[in-house]
This record gives sequence, structure tokens and C-alpha cells, in this order.
Amino acid sequence: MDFERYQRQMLVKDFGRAGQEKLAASTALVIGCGAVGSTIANLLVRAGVGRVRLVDRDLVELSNLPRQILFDEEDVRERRPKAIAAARHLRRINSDVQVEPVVANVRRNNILSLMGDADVVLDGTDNFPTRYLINDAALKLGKPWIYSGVLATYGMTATFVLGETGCLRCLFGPLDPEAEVNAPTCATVGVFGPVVGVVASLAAGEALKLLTGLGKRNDHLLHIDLRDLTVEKLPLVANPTCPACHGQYDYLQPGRGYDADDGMEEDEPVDILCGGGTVQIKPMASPGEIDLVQLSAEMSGVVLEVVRPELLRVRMGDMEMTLFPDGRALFHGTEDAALARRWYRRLVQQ
Amino acid sequence: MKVYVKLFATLRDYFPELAIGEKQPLELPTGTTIAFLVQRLQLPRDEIKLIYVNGRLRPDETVLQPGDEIGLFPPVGGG
Repeated sequence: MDFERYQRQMLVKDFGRAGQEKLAASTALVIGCGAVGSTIANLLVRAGVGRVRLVDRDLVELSNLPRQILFDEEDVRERRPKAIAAARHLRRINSDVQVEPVVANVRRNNILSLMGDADVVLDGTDNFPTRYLINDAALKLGKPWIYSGVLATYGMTATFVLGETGCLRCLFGPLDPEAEVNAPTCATVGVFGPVVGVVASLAAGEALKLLTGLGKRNDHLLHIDLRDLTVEKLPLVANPTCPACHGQYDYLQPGRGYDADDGMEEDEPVDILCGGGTVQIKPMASPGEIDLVQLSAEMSGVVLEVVRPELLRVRMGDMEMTLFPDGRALFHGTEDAALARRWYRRLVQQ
Repeated sequence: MKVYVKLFATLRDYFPELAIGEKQPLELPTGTTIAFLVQRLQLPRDEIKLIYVNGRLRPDETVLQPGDEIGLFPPVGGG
């Protein structure tokens, strides 16, 4: 392979051509492709990680653009899924890298296969139920993973390596469903763009270091706040009674995590997404793969477009529905879950 | 006895006059636990995820010592 473009990176002491070859032979999984995830993906693809798999369930929205660096106004107009839009941009940046976009919710039924061949896993999610799922899956498969979270002007990141650092559950205890419901989110306390770059860059740096063996791993929980510029390095500890560290993967079991009593159950058909103005509907039972082309023929007149095989778009007055083959639908232009549910029944479950 | 409390992220909203990470001196009875301290500051326990005393992660029942520095952190969930 021609490594000419990486010349400056290979000049870094202890990185060299050997480091570049290790990156080229590596696979990174980025779960969530919002502000943190797209910043991470940008750095990994530019650095030349051989394969980068991006998983995200959302579409690009205007309010994403101030901080989600891989997207532009055309992606908003085209309502592209974030994973697809990110992959389009990333392939133009570095065609050597195999970029694999996956438009999906990350759940216990798909996380192990998404993670199976990854050398490192990076957290770009916006919620703890998914992080507990990542933690269990990473422990089960023995994968290092890097937690990142940002809100307002502050953020946290930690690198978890099986058998060496303890895990997310050692640090935070079990998932607290009640605290989750009331927890501040980007929709309530906002996000200051630069903190995303700081935290996501630290996480991407940790991944590149893990993959190449460069330097020393972050063995702390870092808490950084740009408001008054404070940096706290908090020691990670392994909890000797942590179930996950002893092979009990609660969040990979039915009835826990996302499908536990946390207000965001897997079987609950309606879930209001962070970001505002969008309702997500997930079917009670998987309908199997929906043939969107056939469905669009049955809906003639209202269908805007079929971006086959990825999604179908339907306009209903001021509202627009995006339907995915797994039966999941996003209703834009409303926060009325009951209205969205009625339309969903009429159009999809007829 | 005197201890020092540092509040981070959203917890600072309960004491907006403090700068982030600024040490708030506090006079407490000897034998005070972390749980009592949290009550005394009228902080909602479910908003606090991590409690560090002198840089070590500690449980609620930990008895504080004079001069201890307590850092209280909420989880950071956005992305």
C-alpha cells in the first residue's frame, strides 16, 4: 500500500511505518455517529485505520451542523441517515479505508456481530443504556472500548481494557433507570461545540494508541470542563464484586438495559428521540425485512422517494415519515407520539 | 472539622456562586459520612454518579476525615 499521505504521521516518534501498517490492518467500530462519533470517525479514517464501521440510527438534522463535523446542509435537505452521510464524506477523504455504514439501533440482538471483528470499540452514543450494552459485549468478546460523553461545556472519557482497568459498571454501578429518565441531555442543557472536539479527539487518540502500541494508555477517568477550563484525572478502579467483570452480562440478557424498565423498552413501540421535533416508532415485534419498494407501490401518491434499499420517505402534510426495512420509522415535524403511532398503524401495519 | 467540596458539571447549578472545581470549605461534625454531607448540601443523590475523596472513588457510608477533599460528579451522557 502507498503510505505517502501518512508521511507526517509516520514521522511521529515511535509511530513510524510499523504503526501505519498496524492501523491499516485494524478494524474500529464507532457506535453512534453524532457529534462525538463523527469527530472520532473523521480522525480514524484520516489516520488510515483499515476498516471503520459506523453505526447510527438517526438522520442528519439542521441542529446537528454546529458540531457534527462530517455533515453539511445537503445532508440535511436530503435527510440522509447519519451513518450513510458520514460514509459518503469519509470515502472522499480517504478511499484507502473501508468505511462500513450501518443504519440501525444497537441492541443486544446485533451488538455481538457488529463488534465481532473489531480491534477497538468507540462510544459515540448519547445514552447510558447503550453504553452498558457496549460494556457487556466488549467484556464478553475481550475488546478494549473507549467511553466518551459530552454535555454543555464538559465531557468525560475513559479507556476500558479487559482485565486491566475495571469496566464502566465498576465505575458507575448498575444502570439506574430512574436517574436515566431525569438525566440532562443535549436537548436540555445543550452542547458547546469545542468540548466535543476535545473529548472525541482524546478518545480517537486512545484508539490509535491502542492499535499501534504508541505511548501509555489513559488509565484514568478524565473530566474536562471548558467553562473555567478544569481537568480532573480520576483513578479507575476495578470493583471486585462487579458482575460484568465476572462474566455475568446482565445487559445482554432480555429484560435489562434498553428493554428494561427504563422508559425506553425494546417492546415499547414509541420512543421520542433526543433532538426535538422527531418521534421514533419501533414495531412491537420485528416484522422481518420490509420490502420498501413494494410498500411504496401500495402507497402511491404519498411516497416522496425510495432510497433503496435503505429507506422510504412519505409526506403527510407538515410531517414526514422515514421508514427503514426493519420496520423502524422516524416522524419528523412532530412530537405528538399518538399522532405518529396512528399514521404508523395506517401506513405500515395495515 | 473542616472538609472541602468540589462540584462538577450540572451539580454546580446548586451553588452557582462557585467556579467549577472551586473548593468550598465546609464545617462538619466529626464522624460525618458522605451521605450526610450530600444531605447537608441538599444535593439530589440521584444526580450524583461518582464521589471521589482525595482522588479515590468512595461509597456513601465513608466517614470523612478533617481536610478531606470531596469531588462530586454527575454522569455525562451526551454524545
